[in-house]
Amino acid sequence: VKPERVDRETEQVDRIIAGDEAAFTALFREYHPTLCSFVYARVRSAAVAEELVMDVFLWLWRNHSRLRLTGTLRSYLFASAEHAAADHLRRRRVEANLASDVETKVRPLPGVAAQRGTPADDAERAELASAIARAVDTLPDRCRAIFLLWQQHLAYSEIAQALGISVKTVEAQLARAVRPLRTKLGNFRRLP
Amino acid sequence: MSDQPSSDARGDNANDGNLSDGDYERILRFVSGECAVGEDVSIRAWIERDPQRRALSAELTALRHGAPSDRGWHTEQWVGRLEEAMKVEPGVAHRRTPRRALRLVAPSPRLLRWRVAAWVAATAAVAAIAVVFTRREPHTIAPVAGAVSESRTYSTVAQQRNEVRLPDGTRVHMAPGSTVRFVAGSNPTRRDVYLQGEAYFVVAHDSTRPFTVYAGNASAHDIGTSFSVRSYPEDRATQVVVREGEVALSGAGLLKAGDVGRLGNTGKATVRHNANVAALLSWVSGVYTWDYHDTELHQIVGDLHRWKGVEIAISDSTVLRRPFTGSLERMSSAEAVGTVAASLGLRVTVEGNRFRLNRF
Repeated sequence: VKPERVDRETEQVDRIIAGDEAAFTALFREYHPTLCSFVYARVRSAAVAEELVMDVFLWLWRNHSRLRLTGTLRSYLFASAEHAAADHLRRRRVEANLASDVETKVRPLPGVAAQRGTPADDAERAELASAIARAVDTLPDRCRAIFLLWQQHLAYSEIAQALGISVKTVEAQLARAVRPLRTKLGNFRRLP
Repeated sequence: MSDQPSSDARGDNANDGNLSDGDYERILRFVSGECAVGEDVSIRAWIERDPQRRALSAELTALRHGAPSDRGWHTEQWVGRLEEAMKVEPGVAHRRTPRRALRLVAPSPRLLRWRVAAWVAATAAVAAIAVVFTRREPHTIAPVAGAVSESRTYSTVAQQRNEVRLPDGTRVHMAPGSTVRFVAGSNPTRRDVYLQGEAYFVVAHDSTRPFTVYAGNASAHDIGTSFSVRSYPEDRATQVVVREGEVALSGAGLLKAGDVGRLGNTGKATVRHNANVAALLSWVSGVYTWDYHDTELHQIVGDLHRWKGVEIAISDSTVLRRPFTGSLERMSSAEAVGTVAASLGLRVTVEGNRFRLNRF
């Protein structure tokens, strides 16, 4: 357990448990973008990602008074988001018309185009981002979850908490996720 | 950490030659700020020794930041919806519903737009990740084991930049060859950062917890702002550039936006107003400004190594104090070294992949 956020978090969690709306709104603002990016990497639809993240927060709000964390708030939120995304994909898979759904097509990641650079740079970057997204899709489930949480800057211990595995496993699986990505894509040198 | 090809190396692709899984893990630890105390120093040196490891380190840093940026999301719109939902279900009037009843409660008509399926999914999600609900102690959380002081160290090697988010939400852009150590936890009333090298901070506002950067012999105390601090080992002064807000620099007093404060190793402080902050901070977006004014050779050698990977050997260390004034903008490594040498009256020889500067 990485307790680095504990001082601030204890107070934050206390206020959320007490039903402090301002604290909850602040928590939402703090985590909404990164959770959306994380869920988006799984579901590939910005609209669905934002909705799933909203579900996570609404659920937390409705049950705030009974919240009892075993890890950090951050690993809890990412774990909830991971589960919401996985569940969404499960439900989607059983839908017969999956193939015709335009939303499943890989498209440039939100925000990528907003970065500085020439249009050609942006196009190249977006293309690379798509290539990475496709390569990430081919990873085994566990590897992919670890990789995506790592990309959202979670500490190894937080990834371990979120997925219920050991830090050693996180470390080994992360290396195992990254290596084939690098082989497949040649290299990541063109990344912004 | 042997420099020899590891025994578990796979030579099946040209990209990573003979880097082993263990090498990947080590470099990932370094890039992710997961090194044990002291380990980052040895790993950094080990990465620096080998171009393949350097390349992998830089690529992994880029990959970690290759996730979609935060800017594409409609956070404020969703905050509006969240606030509406909270009006419907205010937080203060929480009922102690028996646990089993939780899943049976029908959503109010207003909230029906949040799909029931998602509700059930989220319920299952929380059950699955060991978040426990209790009726007996609704207002406590389990204390986290070992919740004492915690520090976290981030480092970059030559030709590598990094952007990290500290646990308190502060964003840090790190220049090449820099180390940032964040210390929090033991004292909830402060946030302390120890810097060697150069970094640009966009500080997460928290009036109850002052943010202080310690670098060289200086400390920069943030008052809600963004600013950079530079203090490489060979620098003769710690330099603080303020982009927004105010920063208190030890010895120099209060700096405002547009100010550049310097605290020399001898304790002498200077402040320059209305500086060209954009140029001084252009390195944050990857463009280093190669303009020097009375800058010692020592620092220029350091910059060329950090930003261009140029190795320069100097036989006579007394020339390191010689000051250079001029621009090395848009120059190749060889041109830059040649320009500096010509200006300082030094002779350049090439030894393999490094330059040597001698007195005539």
